[in-house]
Amino acid sequence: MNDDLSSEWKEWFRINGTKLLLFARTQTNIEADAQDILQDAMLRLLKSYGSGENDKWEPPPLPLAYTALRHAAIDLARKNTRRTRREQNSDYLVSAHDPAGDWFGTSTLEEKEKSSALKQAIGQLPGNFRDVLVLKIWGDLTFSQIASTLEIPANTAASRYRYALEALRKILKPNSL
Amino acid sequence: MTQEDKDFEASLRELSPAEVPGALQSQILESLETAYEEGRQPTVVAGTISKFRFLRPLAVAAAILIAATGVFFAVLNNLDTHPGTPPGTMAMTSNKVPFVPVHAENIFEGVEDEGLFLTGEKMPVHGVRYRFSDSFKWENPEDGSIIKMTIPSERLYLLPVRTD
Repeated sequence: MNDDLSSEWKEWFRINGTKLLLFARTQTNIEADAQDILQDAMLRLLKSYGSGENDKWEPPPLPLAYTALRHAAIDLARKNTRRTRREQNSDYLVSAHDPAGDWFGTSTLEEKEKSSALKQAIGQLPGNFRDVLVLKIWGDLTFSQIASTLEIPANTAASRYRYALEALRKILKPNSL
Repeated sequence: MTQEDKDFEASLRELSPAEVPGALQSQILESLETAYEEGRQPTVVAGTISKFRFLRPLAVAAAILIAATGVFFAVLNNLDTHPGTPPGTMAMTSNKVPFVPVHAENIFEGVEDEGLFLTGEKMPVHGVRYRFSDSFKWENPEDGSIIKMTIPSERLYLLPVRTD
């Protein structure tokens, strides 16, 4: 295997994998699905962004990775809808959603409580607010990059972010982060 | 943004995303290496795009073939027809005109996600492939014999992905 690919992509994934996994987890309630779409998105990125020209294998820009994740999540949701329909038609028992894994790194009990409360609160946000919030706070994207990733105007991204913060604060008020 | 918002934002940033589980990380890196080694990445992507370009002349050729077949049967139908007879009645009124086009259909068969590609200008695009089946049917009104032709076709749409 090409050393450039091996070292650069591994380093890139080591740095950005946590953010990408968090975004993937917010796109689905099932931990296994989140892991699947992360792997799927990484493979799509390698196929599309890696380039054999001049033997260069540069990792992709982070916004493109989030875009790939969104597309992978959408595709998975379509497949799951079809599968669920099939299973229901075939009298299969559809198992309950398994709980998502820990979304945030924690070392103390207090952090675990914060993490758990935050995860639940984020889960209650409308999807369009949640995506902007996660990409801005933990995804290291600018509003311009978020706008491109979510295919919305930058002003919309900024206003959704403000609404998301406000909504999240109201949800978390009893727990007060 | 108010100070309250900024404080709240800072409190959120105190929590950082959880590490990628070791098993998942190994699995992803391994799958990347496998994909690279199998040569299914850029060269395949480039090949897919050029394959599509290669298919365009074939699609044109198929369209010409369909049109030519239609013209052939149309000419066949009109060979012994009286010049003044309206086309719709020619086939039915002539004993020597065997086949009449009776049915043409364009059936949507499905759509496939082709994933993300890079164009030659390094612009990321999302590929969506639509598959169709075009079918035609001619019938001989005298003996009821039927000719059927079904031709598969597909169209690949490349939708630009904004990444700036």
